[in-house]
Amino acid sequence: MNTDWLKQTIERVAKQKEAEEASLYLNIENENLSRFAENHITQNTTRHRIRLYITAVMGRRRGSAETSDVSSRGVLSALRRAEAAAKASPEDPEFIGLPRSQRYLKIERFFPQTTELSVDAKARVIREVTAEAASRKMKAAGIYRTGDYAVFVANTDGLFGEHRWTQAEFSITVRTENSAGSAVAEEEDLAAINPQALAIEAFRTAEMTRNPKEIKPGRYKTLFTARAFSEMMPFVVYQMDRRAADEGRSFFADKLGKKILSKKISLVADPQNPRNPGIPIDLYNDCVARKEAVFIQEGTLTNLWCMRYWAKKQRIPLVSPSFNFSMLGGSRSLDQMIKRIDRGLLVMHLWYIRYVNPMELIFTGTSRDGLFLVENGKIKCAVKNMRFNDSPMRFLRNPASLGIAERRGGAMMLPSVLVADFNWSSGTTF
Amino acid sequence: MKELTERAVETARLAGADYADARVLTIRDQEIYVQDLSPKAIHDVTDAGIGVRVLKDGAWGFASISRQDKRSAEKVAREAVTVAKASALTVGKDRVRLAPEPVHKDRFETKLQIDPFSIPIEDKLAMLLRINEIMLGVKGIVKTLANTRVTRRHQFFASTEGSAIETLITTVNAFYMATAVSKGDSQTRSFQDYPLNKGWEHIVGLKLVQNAQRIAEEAVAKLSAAYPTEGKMDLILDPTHLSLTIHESVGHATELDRVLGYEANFAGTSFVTLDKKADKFRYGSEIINFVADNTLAGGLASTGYDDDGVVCQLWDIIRNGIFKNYSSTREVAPLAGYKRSFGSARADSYLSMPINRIPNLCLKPANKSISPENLAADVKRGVWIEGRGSWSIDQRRLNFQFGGDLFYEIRNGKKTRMLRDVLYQSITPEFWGAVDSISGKKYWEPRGFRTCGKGEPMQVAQMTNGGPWIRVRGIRVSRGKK
Repeated sequence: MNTDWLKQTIERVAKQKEAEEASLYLNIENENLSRFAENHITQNTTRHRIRLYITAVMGRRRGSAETSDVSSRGVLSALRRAEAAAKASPEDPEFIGLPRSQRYLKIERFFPQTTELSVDAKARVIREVTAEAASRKMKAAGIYRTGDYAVFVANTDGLFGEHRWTQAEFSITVRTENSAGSAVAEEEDLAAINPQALAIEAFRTAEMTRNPKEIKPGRYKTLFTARAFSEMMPFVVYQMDRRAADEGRSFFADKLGKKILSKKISLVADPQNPRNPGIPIDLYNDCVARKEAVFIQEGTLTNLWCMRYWAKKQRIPLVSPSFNFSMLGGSRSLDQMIKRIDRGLLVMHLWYIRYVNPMELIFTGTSRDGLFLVENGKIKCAVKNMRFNDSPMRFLRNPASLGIAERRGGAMMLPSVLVADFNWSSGTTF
Repeated sequence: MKELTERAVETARLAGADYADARVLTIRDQEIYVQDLSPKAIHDVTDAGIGVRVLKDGAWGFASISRQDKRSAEKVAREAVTVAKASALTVGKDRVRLAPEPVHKDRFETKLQIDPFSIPIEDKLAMLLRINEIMLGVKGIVKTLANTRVTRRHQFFASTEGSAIETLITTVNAFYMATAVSKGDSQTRSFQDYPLNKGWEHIVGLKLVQNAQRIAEEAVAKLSAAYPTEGKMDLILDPTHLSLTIHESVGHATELDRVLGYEANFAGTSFVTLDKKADKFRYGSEIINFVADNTLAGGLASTGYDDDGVVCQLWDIIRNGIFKNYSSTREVAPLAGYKRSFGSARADSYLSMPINRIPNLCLKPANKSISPENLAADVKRGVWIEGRGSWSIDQRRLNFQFGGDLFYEIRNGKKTRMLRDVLYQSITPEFWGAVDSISGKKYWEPRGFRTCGKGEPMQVAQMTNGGPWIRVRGIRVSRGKK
């Protein structure tokens, strides 16, 4: 599939449509994921996936259909199903028509070398790290994934665009009889990932977490690694919905323009950030072009993401929702951050985070693969995992320190964060 | 389609596979979603393709494509063998040996009275809009959501062992939610997912429209409800709420692949280690009996056969409080000493390799006709919880914390004032060990899930986790507020 295919298809749809307008969104994925556990590959999945979404518009009525059959016949069938859905629908008072032609940012996220890694080469890397795990009497599990992806978008009102990218991900969790360590990296460029170094990081943590001690739950000064912090922040960004705030059903209600966090905190979604690039198409908003958006500027809430209808109704700028965001950090390494702790905890990784109270943005979750007691600037010992109940919107009002920002999850750029107190509410048994 | 599976399997065999199976799957999915009085999505999906899984030298390979033709079947079959050869570079002595399963040549179809795809979109939309209209008519409600989803999976399975199985599975569900706002505060209340493998008759039986007014009024009432007193107290849990507690603390904990470390990198492991089977581990009180029943009428995992080609079965997970068995696939069953898989291998798509999933895991009701009110009668201080709210559990399935959707205080045996933002936290065997009474069969409900996430790449599966009302003694309760 390429731009020519898209051009021909949208032209054909424009001729064949009974609807007044139509839009296409084609998603292509070619991916291999080698999955290992117990020191060998347990699954090895290759997929060639294609999905075409067609939306048909009749006045203020619309319907959509999705198909994996992108032949001429398949496209026509999907178009007719979308039209049937549109005909069956009452008018949507919130539908404002399809967007016109867009100018998308040119963002380079396709690295041919990522697509060239063979399944054999992946298996050899996995064999190397799992053999090392076995020699250390550890059990390794993880994934090694590479893929190329593309989206093509078009509508009968002149919108036309495409974006291609690659992704590579290596993650590893190693376990001993009573400890665990893990590490993960996800990047567009395979060369930016070093599986052996990630494995060593996981081995080191698993060694350090042997024989964890039990400590009393309570409020502790806590240092979140960039990884742990990045696992929490998407839950904040998801709630940054302008309409929910305007309707009074969000933590962010009545907070726009107000200082809600420390001056150290700025949160920006910029697909052009060279260290944290992202997709230039807003797939949640009828494929309009994504632009840079500053959500928090030195602690002040400056923007919330806003869908097309709400932006038009409220006469405010459209702000694309996105989990591709960055927060400026400080200049301290994790070791330097640890030195600033008189007594507290270092948490490597968080697990099963869920909202407890969305109006107050209180979350729960547990530590995983490394929770350490730090005393007098040094790691004293590993401690058993604990559950937390707390809000980042509380501790980010006055964080003690921010570390160097790192790219996490292939979409976020976030620092490690040291906070004065964090509520670890109960313990578990390991 | 049957010919395509045979072609794929034969191509894999000729390419050197020691074992191969193929699934040719077509999914039809129709979702209608209404926000307030705005029809936000009327989405009709047809997704069709082929997935081929092979064993070569004791290692797995899998390849899949969004096409259904002879050339594609052959392409992915050969590709799966290539991938398996790469996997084999790492397996050493850990070669996959599948538990034996008789050859099946069969067809299974969900029994339904009304084909949900035969109901016009107009009628579904009218119902959802009416629900939202009723809820928006309640003073204090600012936002409403309602949806229906109907799915049909038509699959042909074939293996080099000779099995040839056709399944046609239909699933329906509906959901709606109201959000109330007042003085800088907000609360939601929902009519929660109640999916089953049935026809539209199930949706009709839910009385969705008739309950809309109550749901919206309860959302508003939650705004002025009291916060709970914190501390240890008794809980009365309804089947909707309990389904999630069952799912997280028993369902996932007894998946054999997790126990063996296969999910250690993502979904986690389990505290129910292999020694606990031989040691007659006490999982709960003597009245706790969990059965896995993939033959349950309407159950979301009642598919006739699993994606290993194993016939759906009924077996004990916990009997009289003692742990008995795991759920399993053909791959992991022998590693726990089982001679046959219980049939819990599921793939969410032709693009995914089957993995060990939770079956229709259900808590048996008491034989007596105990009602929820009977359970509360013996509670001096406690909380009555309906529906699902916040949920989280550690990666070995021990420390969990759950919220709910509707709460009442229980004082001296009576359900009294409404509460809000209640949380409870426990450790799995302590929680199930503290259950001292269970309601009768009349109050048992087959609640379940369509979006259970697990695996890498992430897959979603569906299963029923039915149960009665239960009473649990002395559980730590807190409030979900600063």
